[in-house]
Amino acid sequence: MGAGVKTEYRMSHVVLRSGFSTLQYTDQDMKTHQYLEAFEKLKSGRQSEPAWLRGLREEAMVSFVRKGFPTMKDEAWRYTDLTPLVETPLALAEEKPELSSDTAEALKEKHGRNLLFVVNGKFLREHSSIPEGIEVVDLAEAIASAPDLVEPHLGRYAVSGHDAFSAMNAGLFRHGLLIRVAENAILKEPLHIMNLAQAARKGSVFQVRNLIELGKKSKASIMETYLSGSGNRYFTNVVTEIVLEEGATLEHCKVQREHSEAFHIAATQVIQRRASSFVSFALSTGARLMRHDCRVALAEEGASCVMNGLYLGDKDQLLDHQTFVDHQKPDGKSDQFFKGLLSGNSRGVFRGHIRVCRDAQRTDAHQTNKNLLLSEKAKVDTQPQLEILADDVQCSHGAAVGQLQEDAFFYLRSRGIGEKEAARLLAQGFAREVIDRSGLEYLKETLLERMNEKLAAQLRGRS
Amino acid sequence: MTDSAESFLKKEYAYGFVTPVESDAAPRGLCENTIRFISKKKREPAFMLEWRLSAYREWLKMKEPDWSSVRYPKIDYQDIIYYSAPKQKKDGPQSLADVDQEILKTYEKLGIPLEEQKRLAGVAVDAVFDSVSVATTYKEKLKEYGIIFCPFSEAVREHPDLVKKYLGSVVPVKDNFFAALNSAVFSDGSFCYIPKGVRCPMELSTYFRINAMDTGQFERTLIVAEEGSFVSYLEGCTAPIRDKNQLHAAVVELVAHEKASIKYSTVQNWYAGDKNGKGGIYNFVTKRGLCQGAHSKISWTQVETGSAITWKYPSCILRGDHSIGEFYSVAVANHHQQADTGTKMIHLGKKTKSTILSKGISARFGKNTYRGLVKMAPGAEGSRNYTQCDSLLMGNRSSANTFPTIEVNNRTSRAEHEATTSRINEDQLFYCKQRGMSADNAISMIVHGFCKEVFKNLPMEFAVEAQRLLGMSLEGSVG
Repeated sequence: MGAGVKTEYRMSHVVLRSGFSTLQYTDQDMKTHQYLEAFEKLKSGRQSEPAWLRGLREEAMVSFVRKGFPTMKDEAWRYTDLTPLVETPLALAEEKPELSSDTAEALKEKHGRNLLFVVNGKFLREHSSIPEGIEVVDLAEAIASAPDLVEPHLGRYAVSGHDAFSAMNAGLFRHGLLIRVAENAILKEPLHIMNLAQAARKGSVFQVRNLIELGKKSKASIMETYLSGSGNRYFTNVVTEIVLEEGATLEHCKVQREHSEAFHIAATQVIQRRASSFVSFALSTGARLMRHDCRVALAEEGASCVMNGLYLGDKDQLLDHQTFVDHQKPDGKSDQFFKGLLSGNSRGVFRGHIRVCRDAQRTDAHQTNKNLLLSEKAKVDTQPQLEILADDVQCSHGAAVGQLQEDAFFYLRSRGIGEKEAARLLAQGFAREVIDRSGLEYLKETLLERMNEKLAAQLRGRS
Repeated sequence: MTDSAESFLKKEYAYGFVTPVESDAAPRGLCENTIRFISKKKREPAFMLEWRLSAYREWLKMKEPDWSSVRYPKIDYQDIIYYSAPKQKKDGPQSLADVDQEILKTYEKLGIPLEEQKRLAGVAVDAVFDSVSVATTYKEKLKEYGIIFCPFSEAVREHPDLVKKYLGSVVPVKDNFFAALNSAVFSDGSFCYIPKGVRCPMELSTYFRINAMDTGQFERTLIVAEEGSFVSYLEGCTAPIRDKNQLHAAVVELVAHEKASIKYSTVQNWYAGDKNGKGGIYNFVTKRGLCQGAHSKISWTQVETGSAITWKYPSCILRGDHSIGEFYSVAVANHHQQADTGTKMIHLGKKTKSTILSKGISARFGKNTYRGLVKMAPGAEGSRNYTQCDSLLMGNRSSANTFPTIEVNNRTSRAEHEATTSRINEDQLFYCKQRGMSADNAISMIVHGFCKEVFKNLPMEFAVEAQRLLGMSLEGSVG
């Protein structure tokens, strides 16, 4: 068949297998070069890694170097210009990050006792408290001590071919978390992972890899927070693979509050077995450039997935959220609800793709994306996508972009409420809906607080 | 699919006959000489030939696009006959009496009122047969109003200034692969000019017919509406049944000046291929309207039931302040048909408005894609868009995709998009059947209800034809 699928590599003369040293450098190489160097440097220390992992890393790195960074010509990156990230010189974070007991205490004071500390991508067990019924191990340790637990899952879902950053991560990650919840275990308390970026002399890259596995009929709540400690110019590249076995339920909350000069790229790949349930919430307020790809595969019958998200941007922020919900088997349900508020010179990007495969009859899939522009220069690009190959389905999507409603605004003003306060009230009401819908009761207060903090900043910067 | 549904969609393509006229054709294949040949045949002025050749040179540099959801075997552009005309004794028909009787019979069979005397529908028709326009009716009457409505090749000879001014101004030569190809080899089409302040007294219509084998049809339509004028334009198309795919790559350009309004309706019923997906027309069309002046309006209505592959995005560039763009579409993909269609609304002027209403129906192996773009430029303050896309699925091998893109670059604009995909509601079906309706009738009624909002935007005669076509093309395939 003719003009159909065609893959073209930007460079054709990469010499593989014989080692990367024989590479000839092109422009594209120069951009990936620093990462390739890091890969070569790590190689010697990896002799003890199992062969399958070394193979996986090598393959991923080849794929990354071959394809290079995505450009705005790639449909999936049409609105996200990676130039600032690509051109920033960065180095892998040092191996032994420090966290003072005082800092840890202060954070626990603020965020609750059940904190797990991951500093510069490395899990610090000594400061962390792990709730009962859940197993948390540093991924590197798990690979060394119990590779059988890791091998069936690692890199099986977040396939490197999908995108450059997952590939880069597979090649370069050193640490991360392996989180396992046993069959039938029901966690009473949420697990809170605190990802901290600590100061580094120059820009650091944190390549973090997480693997979360919930056994049959288990239930857990996991919250991830990304926060800058004392670091500012850094790049977090995190890949999380989540497996939900039959009947398992996971509530997953990701709060991204990176430093305003940081880069944050995240990929989450979820595999749902029969009748499992995945409920997620994403709050994004930080980073100069952030991208989150959340791909959920409803791989067996009767799985359900709820995804809610709220992104609040100001200044020059670019907040890019991408979802892909893949209904592979019958009787699945999915519901996505994303809202964005953009002020200053910020830009919001949303692309939500729902695919219903031929077998997936009686699927119910819905998606909504709404955006408010709070300033003259803020921008939004949204692409909701439906790809339906089965006929007995109920699917819908909706997207809207607008500004604060004039008549509502007028109403508040006529009741004697000041302009700023009226704007705040309306923006808050708009944003709050997502949090109310999320159903994460125990987190509601925290999320509202974060939301209000950011909203105040956004409205201050409103021009 | 249920049996009752299966029986609903069976009628064969009724326009698949071939007219036995001798044709005068260019040699197979495309090179600069083919273009010179076409230009010479049409007795075109030199500027036209130059324009064609430069388009051809651009085309050579371009690559066939592959970003859409449609799949087809590679087209051999050297295996197409780029020009075919029914043989004539004289240079062109002076009146209807001069038109080949066989051709008149063809149009009669198709139900097109060519014979003015009968004053059938009061519609002025320009009939295009393969590569040339064979007859234009009501010309004289339109002339009284100062309206120019004639074959494109005649316009090139008689109104070169207008053609020069507007040709390629909305769809530039380099716009896309098929537009460039069309610019190089376009053979005929309709040209329409409505002078200032004139409300066109009747519907203008072009009827396109592909007859000869292995030909491609590349027509070009240009409509210019001067300040304060109004025109409603209809377009219909059919082709004979052939095993081989035929290419149809047209370009339509509309220009609406201040307070002018153009209503463009299409009922597209090219041969769609047989039920195994063999044969059919590749309908790769570029249609674009420019709302140049303030308060101008362009409205596209299309009913796409034919073609093996439909690939078109009638678009509006809303440059004038307060200008309005509309897009109403029903696209049916039955058997192995593929439809990748939608629109682009580019808001540039202040307080511009656009409405998109798209209904897609996929049956059996049909594949229907809505692909659209709504863009609010930074200067398009206070602009507004509303989009609604619904898909109806019949049969578990059919598919429907919805790929809209919304880009908003200013705070005061609003854009809304809604889309749904589902199959025929079982409850509605049950209700109708329970009231004694046959499943066929019930389905037909539900489908018509689904499309009603679009049909009501069609001119009366067309709405009837469209409904009939829809029923025909879906007959026997519902489930």
